[in-house]
Amino acid sequence: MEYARPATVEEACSLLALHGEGARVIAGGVALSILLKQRLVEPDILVDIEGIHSLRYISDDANELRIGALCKHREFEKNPLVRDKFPWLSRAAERIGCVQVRNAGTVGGSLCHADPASDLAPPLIAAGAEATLRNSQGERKVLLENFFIDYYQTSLSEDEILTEIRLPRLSARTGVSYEKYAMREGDMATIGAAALVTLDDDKQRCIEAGIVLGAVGPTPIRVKEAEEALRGRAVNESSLRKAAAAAMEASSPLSDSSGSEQYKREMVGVMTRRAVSRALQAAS
Amino acid sequence: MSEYRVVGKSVPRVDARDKVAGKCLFGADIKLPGMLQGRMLYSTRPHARILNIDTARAERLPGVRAVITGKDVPRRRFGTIVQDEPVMALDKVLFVGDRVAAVAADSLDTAEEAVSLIKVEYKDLPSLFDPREAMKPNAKVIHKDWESYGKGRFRTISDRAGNICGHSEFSMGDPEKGFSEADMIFEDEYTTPMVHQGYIEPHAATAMVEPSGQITVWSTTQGQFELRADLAGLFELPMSRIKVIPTEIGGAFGGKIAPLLEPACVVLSRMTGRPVQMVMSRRDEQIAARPRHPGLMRIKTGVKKDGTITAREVVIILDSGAYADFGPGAAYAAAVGGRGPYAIANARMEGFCVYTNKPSGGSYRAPGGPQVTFAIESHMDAIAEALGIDPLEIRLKNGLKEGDISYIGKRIERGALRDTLHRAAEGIGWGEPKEGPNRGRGLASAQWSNGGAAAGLTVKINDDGTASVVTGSVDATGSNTVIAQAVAEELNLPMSSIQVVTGDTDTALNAPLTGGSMIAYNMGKAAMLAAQDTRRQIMEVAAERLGVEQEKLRMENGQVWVKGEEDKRLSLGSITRTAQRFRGTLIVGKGSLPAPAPAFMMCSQGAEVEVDTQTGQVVIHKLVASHDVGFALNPDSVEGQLQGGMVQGLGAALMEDVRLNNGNVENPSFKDYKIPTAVDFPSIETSIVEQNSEEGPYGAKGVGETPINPPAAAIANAVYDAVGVRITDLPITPEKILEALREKADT
Ligand SMILES: Cc1cc2nc3c(=O)[nH]c(=O)nc-3n(C[C@H](O)[C@H](O)[C@H](O)COP(=O)(O)OP(=O)(O)OC[C@H]3O[C@@H](n4cnc5c(N)ncnc54)[C@H](O)[C@@H]3O)c2cc1C
Repeated sequence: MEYARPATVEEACSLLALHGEGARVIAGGVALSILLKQRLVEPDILVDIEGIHSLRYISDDANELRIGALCKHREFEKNPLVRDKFPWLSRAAERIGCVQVRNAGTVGGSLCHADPASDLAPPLIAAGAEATLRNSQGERKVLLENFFIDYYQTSLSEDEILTEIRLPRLSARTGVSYEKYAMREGDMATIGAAALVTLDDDKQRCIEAGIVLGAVGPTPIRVKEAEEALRGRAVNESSLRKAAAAAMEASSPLSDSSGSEQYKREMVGVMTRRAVSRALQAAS
Repeated sequence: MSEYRVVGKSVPRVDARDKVAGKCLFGADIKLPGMLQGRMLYSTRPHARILNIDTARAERLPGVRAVITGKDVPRRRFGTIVQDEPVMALDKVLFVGDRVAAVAADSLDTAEEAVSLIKVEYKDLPSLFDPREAMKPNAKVIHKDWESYGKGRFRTISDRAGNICGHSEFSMGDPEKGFSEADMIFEDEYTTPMVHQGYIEPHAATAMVEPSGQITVWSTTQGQFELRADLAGLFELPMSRIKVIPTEIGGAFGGKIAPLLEPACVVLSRMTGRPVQMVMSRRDEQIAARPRHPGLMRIKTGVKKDGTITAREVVIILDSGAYADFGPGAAYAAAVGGRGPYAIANARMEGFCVYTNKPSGGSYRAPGGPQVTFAIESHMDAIAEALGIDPLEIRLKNGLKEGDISYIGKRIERGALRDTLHRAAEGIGWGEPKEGPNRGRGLASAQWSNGGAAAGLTVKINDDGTASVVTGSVDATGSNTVIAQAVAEELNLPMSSIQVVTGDTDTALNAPLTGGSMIAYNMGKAAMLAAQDTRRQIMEVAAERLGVEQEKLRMENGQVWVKGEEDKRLSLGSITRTAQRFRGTLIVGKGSLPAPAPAFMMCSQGAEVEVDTQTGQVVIHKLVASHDVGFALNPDSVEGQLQGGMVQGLGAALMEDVRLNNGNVENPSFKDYKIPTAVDFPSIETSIVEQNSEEGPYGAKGVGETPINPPAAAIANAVYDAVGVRITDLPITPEKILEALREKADT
């Protein structure tokens, strides 16, 4: 297996173009090194993008948040700008694994790895994040919501790398939150539930809603029915119950050592309610 | 207490620096020239006849040096208590994970590939997974030749019949009368699952057989002498033909006693003429090692209205899995301790260990203790609740006290349960207002005893006046540090002047294996005696050289001088050198002792939890442990043992469960077999009680095992206190709590 450490995005893209499916990007290596060790992937060449320093930034541009793909989880968990303006994102990052994992793992790696249990995907999707993908020809943008295709599969082509995540400016009176259920602290999510709630001027009705589940299907799941249960209505016991029921309905958890399918589905409901309630609080 | 200089002090562990610096050589670090890598093929069937094993394709694979099956290994069986286990399956496999074949190859990759090329034809047989079924008189007998099996080296008071590989029964007083005197009788049933020790270092073994037939084995074993005896028995060789070198051990907790890899390594090395190493993968560990036996406990207690216990009956059924290993010993220990730390005059206790087609259990920290303690201590709270008595009061009322006989038959002179209970209750804030809803506190107590074993070791004084100790005990718990402390104490030397080396079977004197909370108690005593012997020898030579009576001499910091005449002094180095040169005397102290009586240890632990009633999750806010350790030879080490034991106990309480489906382990990885990590628990407060033992060094008692006994019941009791549901089947998962809450709401 060969190893290359390009210093620029262009170099990285041309290596990917050259080697086609024999090439594999490695960032923090937290996820990939496990796959390599288990021989689940056996690339001809590893393209280590950690040397591309231009992809490691967090910036605030007219209240849009831009996160470079190589930004470490720990960095934006601790970043003052993120903590101040996007506290929910910082809190979601805090829940990722342990400090060691957060020090090594990157935002881009977490998304491109496309483990449905990622803690970042649900809140980012709920908040309408967009991904920038680059290859030698140029770049394209996709809504993060459409980025995930299946377990560990994304819409990235062989020759593309993810360079940036952009979070649009959130409208006023908007709250976002992410709830994670795991049997053990530091585990991957058994259930993740993210919610976005925007209230009207009187803070009476919800005018925009986003509900996204993690870990209970092949990709993060955006639950439109749950959003509809909230949109245009007051967030109260009745709309919460409907949203939770829709989320439970949309999820397809599997029985394993963290719990039975039935229990997990029930927890989808509990986590959805908690996420919406917290988003509501933040919006008010 | 501080009449001592070194013992009783929290000196740093002697191995700490090397461990932190990565210098210690663990089992898999052994690298020998020309060494081959071995891999084992494990059975994929829970119970089947082996019709054929086709190894041809594996043998043809380039890089493969040898392939062995049951045909190539000694036909004798091994076992600590019952010699029922073959080196490699002979004609039948008894569980998924039974050893079927093994390969030695130039690389691990090749060995793994070769193993996958071995084709085994099985004819499935009906399997038994439930010990209650397997112990029925008409059940199919798993070990057809059970009657012909020999006895192992560990003698326990038990008998066997068919699938029951261990049965122990005890009775005291008049149980019938006791129950008839009771105002109320309580009966409960508790169950605990199979749990794994979860040591970080997997089993690793390396064998080298010389052309002369001399065998050297490097192993992660907890007891090199036991391993040597096992190998000598299997290969029908005199012990002197085998040398076992114990490597540093990366956790064991009882799991590294049975020779799981070594015999196959020896056979493969014999065939190839090259050293052969085998290291278990985590999956191998989870399916084919020696976890804790699942337990079923039926407990019945008669009480007076005031909480006085009049009689108790306990039946413990342990699921042995395919082999007996230490199971009969665990069933014996659970039965003999079935009264718990309480004075109960009338009792009947019975323990069974029953073969099934599951992974074989073994020894796991206090074998039998955690299972029966979970039952007894949950049951005590259930009784207290029904009688309207405080759980602390019912324990104080019945707890063993001065003049009572502990379960090992010793009269209690001082202390007993009370002190530990008071301290645990105080530590956990018993009776104080709680900070919020759904919070609860629980207490649990236990009694345990450490093993007493014949022990011996040597101390020599080096030419530079330092002392070297060779011990035959494997250091899994910090025992080499307390050995060094005892020697430093007796020789009045600083810790930096003492080296402790764990010797192999040729260089060290026989020592007990590291288990049964035995090492500090027995080897610590041997070290104390050996150092005293060394000191006598030094004084004798010094008195002669200085021309004074021994009584006039004082020894400190590597110097001996005449009291009152400070300039008349000799260094230990000079004494040693001249003794050898001019007198022909070697200053070598020996310390040995016949097996001392075991000590008994009382303990109490407390937990404060909060239950999330929507998810069923338990958050632990506080944990306390109060243990009688006799005398804390090294308080930091003792605290580490208490905390480590509690964390392991809490893992079993809340999450650990080797899940089996038709005999297959469903969670053979640390991803799916969950053990607690550092972030899952708050810090644990410990409070050490010191009721000196009669025979341990400086009054010490065993520490290693006891702390793992009470945690599950302390948590279960705290959960009950918090939300009013009692979980009787471990682990206490969120799902079980939620279900119980629902049932409670429905009724
Ligand atoms: C013990 C442990 C615990 C964990 N716990 C959690 C948790 O609680 N929550 C959670 O969300 N995650 C968790 N993870 C997953 C981990 O956080 C992510 O997988 C990690 O952040 C991946 O980042 P990385 O930079 O290391 O990616 P890598 O391992 O380097 O790469 C992962 C994949 O993404 C591809 N890739 C990486 N960067 C790019 C890019 N810029 N463009 C294109 N492709 C790219 C790689 O080719 C590879 O396929 C855990 C992982 C471990 C090992």
